[in-house]
Amino acid sequence: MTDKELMVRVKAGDQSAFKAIVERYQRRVINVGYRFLGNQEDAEDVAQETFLRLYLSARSYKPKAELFTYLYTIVTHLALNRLRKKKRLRWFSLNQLGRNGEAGIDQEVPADPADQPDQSLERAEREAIVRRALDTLPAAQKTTVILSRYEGLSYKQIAEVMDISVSAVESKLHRAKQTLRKKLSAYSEDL
Amino acid sequence: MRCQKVKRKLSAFLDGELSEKKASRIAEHLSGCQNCQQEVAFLSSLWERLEEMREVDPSPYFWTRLNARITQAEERSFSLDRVRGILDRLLVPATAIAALVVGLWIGGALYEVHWEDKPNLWEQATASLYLDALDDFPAQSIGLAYTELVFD
Ligand SMILES: [Zn+2]
Repeated sequence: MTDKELMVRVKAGDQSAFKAIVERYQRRVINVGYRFLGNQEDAEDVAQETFLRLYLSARSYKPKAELFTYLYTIVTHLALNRLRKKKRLRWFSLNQLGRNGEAGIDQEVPADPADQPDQSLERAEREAIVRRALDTLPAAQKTTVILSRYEGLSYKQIAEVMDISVSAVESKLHRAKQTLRKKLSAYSEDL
Repeated sequence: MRCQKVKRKLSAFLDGELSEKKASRIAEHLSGCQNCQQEVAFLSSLWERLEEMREVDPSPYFWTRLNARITQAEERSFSLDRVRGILDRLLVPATAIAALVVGLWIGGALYEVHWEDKPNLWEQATASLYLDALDDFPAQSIGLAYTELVFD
């Protein structure tokens, strides 16, 4: 069944159709959240909020745009909002510490590699380096990288999700790549 | 084509986002320019490097938890419907009821998704990202807060 057919059923109150949509997209939505937020708990929370909003707005559903465009738009929006709140908390906690204390409470410390027996230390470290580099990007650039690199969306699809022009997507990605390259070159011979 | 111009387009070229005509011009330049070839190698290995961030598997309870949230939200909306029913009988003008119900409904939520006239969520998101964030800081520390937001 297509997304549109499923949504028509959801609109008519069919719970199993909604479950089918969630099963179809949960992995994607959770992982977008994960790229932004860096931990699974937060990622699943924003993903649930995303689907909840989809469900609550299903009644006014008009099959104009692709469903996944809406899902990506909502999850991106929610993840950025959550990041913003975390930054506030972090600013607050840094202030409390006189700005030279330890890391803020929400600092995304990479998971202790010792807790991940099936993942080598080196691998966890390399992942943390990539994450830190991504986190230095401005929100919009980071979004283009996540949707392009990890979600495999075309520039046109990214433009729809972000509601910007295709050429804006192209230039944001270009700038993002230049920045990432600088940030990662210290760790990589071929960059 | 100049290298400068080619380099700006390489990313889109590698992503397969250029028209055939443009792509073939880039390819032609690349075949004779080592400098730009090197740039292609950089960009490719950068993209490979990003692969190192793993993907997570949805937890087995994802649907169960979501379902519980839906039930909760529906119960809230049910009680709102009852409020509306009572107000209706009290002959409060329909628009006022609608406004009240919508206000209550949205509650603490930041926004509603509208299928018909999709607002520019992105602009909303990014606008609130910066403005709200600055609002929260004491006036004297705006500069500090801004630095934190932008350069952190
Ligand atoms: Zn060249």
